[in-house]
Amino acid sequence: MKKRRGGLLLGDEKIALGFLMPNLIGVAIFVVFPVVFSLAMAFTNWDLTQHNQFSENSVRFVGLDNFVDLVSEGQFLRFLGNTLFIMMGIPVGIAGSLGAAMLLTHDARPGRRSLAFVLAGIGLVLGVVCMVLAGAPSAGVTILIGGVFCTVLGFGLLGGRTLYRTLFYTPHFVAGVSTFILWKKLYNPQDGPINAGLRPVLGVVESTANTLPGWLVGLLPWVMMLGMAGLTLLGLDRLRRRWADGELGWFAGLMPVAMLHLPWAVALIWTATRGWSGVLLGLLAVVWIVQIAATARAKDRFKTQATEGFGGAMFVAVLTMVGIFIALGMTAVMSGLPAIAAEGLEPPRWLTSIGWAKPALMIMGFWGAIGSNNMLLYLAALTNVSPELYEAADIDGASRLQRFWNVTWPQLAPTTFFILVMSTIGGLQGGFEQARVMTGGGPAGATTTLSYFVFIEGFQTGRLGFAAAVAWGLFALIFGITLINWKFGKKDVSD
Amino acid sequence: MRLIILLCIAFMIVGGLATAWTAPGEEEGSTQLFWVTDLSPVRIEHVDGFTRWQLEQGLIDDQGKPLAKVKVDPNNGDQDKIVIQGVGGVGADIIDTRWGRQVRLFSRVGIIKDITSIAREGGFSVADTWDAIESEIAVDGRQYMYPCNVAVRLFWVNQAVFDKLGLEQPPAVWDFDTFERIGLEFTKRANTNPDRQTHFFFDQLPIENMYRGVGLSIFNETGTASALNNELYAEVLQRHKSWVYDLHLMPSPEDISALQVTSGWGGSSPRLFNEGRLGLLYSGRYILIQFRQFVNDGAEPLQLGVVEPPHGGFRNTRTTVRGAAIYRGGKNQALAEIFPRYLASKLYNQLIIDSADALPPNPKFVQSRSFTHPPDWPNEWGCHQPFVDAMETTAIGGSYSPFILTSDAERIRDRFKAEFDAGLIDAQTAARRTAELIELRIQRNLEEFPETRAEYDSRVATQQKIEERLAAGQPIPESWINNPFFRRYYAAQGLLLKEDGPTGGPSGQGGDP
Repeated sequence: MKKRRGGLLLGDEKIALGFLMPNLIGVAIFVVFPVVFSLAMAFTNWDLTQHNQFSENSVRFVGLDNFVDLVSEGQFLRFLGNTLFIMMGIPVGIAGSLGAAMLLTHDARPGRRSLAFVLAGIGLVLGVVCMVLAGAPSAGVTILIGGVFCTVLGFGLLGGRTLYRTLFYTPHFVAGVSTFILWKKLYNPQDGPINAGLRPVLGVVESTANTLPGWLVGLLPWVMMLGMAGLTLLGLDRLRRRWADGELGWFAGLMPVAMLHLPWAVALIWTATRGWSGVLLGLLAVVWIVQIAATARAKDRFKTQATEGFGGAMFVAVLTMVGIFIALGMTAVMSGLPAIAAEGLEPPRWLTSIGWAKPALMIMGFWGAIGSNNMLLYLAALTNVSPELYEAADIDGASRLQRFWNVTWPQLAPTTFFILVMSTIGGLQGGFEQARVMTGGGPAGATTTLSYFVFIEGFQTGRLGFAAAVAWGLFALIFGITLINWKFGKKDVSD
Repeated sequence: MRLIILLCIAFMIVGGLATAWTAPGEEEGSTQLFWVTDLSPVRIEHVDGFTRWQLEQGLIDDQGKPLAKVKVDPNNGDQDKIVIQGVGGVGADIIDTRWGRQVRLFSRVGIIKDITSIAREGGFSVADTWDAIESEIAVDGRQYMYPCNVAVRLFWVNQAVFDKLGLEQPPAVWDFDTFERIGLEFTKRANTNPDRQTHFFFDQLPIENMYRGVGLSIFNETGTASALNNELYAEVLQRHKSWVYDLHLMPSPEDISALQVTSGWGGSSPRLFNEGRLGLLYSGRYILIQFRQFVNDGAEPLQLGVVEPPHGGFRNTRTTVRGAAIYRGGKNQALAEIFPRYLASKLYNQLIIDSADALPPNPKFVQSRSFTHPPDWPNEWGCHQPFVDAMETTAIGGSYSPFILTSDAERIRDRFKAEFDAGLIDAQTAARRTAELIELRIQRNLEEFPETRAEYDSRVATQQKIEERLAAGQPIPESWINNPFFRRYYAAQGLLLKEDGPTGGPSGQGGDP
């Protein structure tokens, strides 16, 4: 009789181990060993061109030199900046995937009106095909895409949400490289459908800007700056209320507040908006006066721990910061609009423009994020929200927005937290394929992310030690941010 | 469950055995050598020639088969792949090595074999090729490859386009201003669509040609620092950028993608040139392979001319080499050593001449009518000799320093040029930072390789003397100058003092840091 240990027969243990062993050996050889080895590499001067089987030079231990070089050479920080810039699209992507998931929970069964959509779509596509066959210009391609969308809409209405779910998930199961090549074509500055679609719009904007009275055009940057101030006020107000309600400690609130001021700091040094620095500082001062006055007026405040509520506050801050950055960009565009419109508005050069290359990749990432696993996770989470909660909200007379904000959103918090953590990790590690396939990391390094930098240093320059240091620097970042997320975010989610 | 797992394992074993059984094995007889090279349309001819040549030379085994046969590997020719596979012990037997910069990189990595002695014995030494390419195939007097072909890049002229536009044919020699003036007229007349540019004057001109044209090089005379921290380099950067983005003489990357031309061997530019959308094409004689292919595909033969690239006061052209080096980690090195002997043979040189794959490795073979007047291609007559003339007069090899890899220095140069083109920095800053970072990298290499410090200090002292002499307007002794560009430049300026005895030679200009 075999002896039992913890309810498992010893013989069974051996069998289990036997089955696991191939996998364990594989993990040890191909994961654990390389990881440990790369850590050791990061402290050496290993250069592939100098230290290899054909060379007599030996690899030297250089201590922290590679990590010092990370900071002193400047490239690492620059490419980290690129990575973080592209990551600013993550909140928008998460919102997009949530929106898509919510749309896809609704059934879209056909009715007479839907059939009309289908017929109209088919008619449009046929019309465009005829136009293209008859030698219509490149705008035909744009109309063709519009027609395809119409058809998708129509067939989706016929096929119901299953078809829509499949279509929305397409970006995830189409191979990355082919997707990137497709987007490269879409971004073609001369003949790409995106610019073909933008040209007429810009034409209208141009003629409008040129015909509008000067004073009215001059007002537009003011409106945008007011938008910046409004969003900042909103963000600070949310944080202040959390603080007053005892949901946010003073220490945990420091970083979110600082993040809300990041766009303002950028605005003060950016050449496009530097001229407005006086107005910007004035607006910021008004925002603060309002906040201080509101704080002073408040009578009671629930006390809490200094580190309480960091995750939730950061979520609010990041979302608001992205909005303020968008308003800042619009301020720059509006302040230069009269001059640009007088010269003629041209669509962006996208991937070949240093200013547009990163936003172009962000837009593509947004498209990918909508139809990603995040959407599936949200779909699953939405089906788990108890209908009783909605019924209770309905009985209380909640509006659709209130239903979302007070029922759906809190119920989705664990899923959102998971998605946020995974997206942050993915964002920090991302950008390699796009850089390799679409831009080569250019123009002038504008789309070189940290993962692509590791590749360049390791395989093009041959500095294996330095590349390992970059990789471990990246790991430290990911680990640090994930720890912060877990420490502060998870608590919020549980609450 | 166990049964399913066992069935899966059995299926995999049977599948593996079946795959191994049906996989094409090596033919008996000739040993197979792998050659990492490009997929030029004429490469198969060259490979077949190797077999024929072995038979002619009696290099056969007991069964009468050639000792080796070559298989072309066009998928692993990227520099990164060659290095990674080389140090990993799985490099190809014969490695296409481009220009002196790859020779220096691969020899420093140690993946290619020093063939100096076997080259001398086998008749494929440095003396058996063009003088101008010594620095491209040898490092510190040691030879690492023998050319598969030798190129000097000039501007091809689509003469019919100039005639059609009512423009005179471009001059054989021109300066930057003349080039720009003619280019502006060309683009103005060629582009009739006001909304979109469809025709360009030329496809490309490397920045190296331009700064050499004003008397600059990436390294100074002794290779101890960069010579690009110079106002003239800043001007060249501005001019190059204006040709692309302001005057639109040359297409930008987005222009090329917008022109939507199918690409083939040699890129999309030959097709644009063939279609008359480019007036000039910067290339070597090898591009005739593609032009001939167009004719074979039904296009009309082009009316061709050849002119020098423009200069800023100093006429120069860049010679380039694609050579065959032998992998040091290969199993069949002895057999691979036969290959460069084939490259030096009359059979191979004639193949290069007939297939128009640039210039043959040995210059003695170009002294024939079959080279200057190929009977099947009368439209090319008059276009072949200028390449030989350029090789013998204006062609200069690369500039190399023993203290930094040229590929590293050029990466730095290109980085700041890209930042200037993108509007991130001004031209002066780009020039200054290029030189600074190259010098910083040199200092780091000196720390890494302290044994090169003595040589560096000695050269720095020489450099100081050179600068003193230049300031005084005195000629520089030739042996003081390691950079072949400056030897030629000062000779043209009347500032070179020829000496008897050893001159240091181009091969002394840059070994391994």
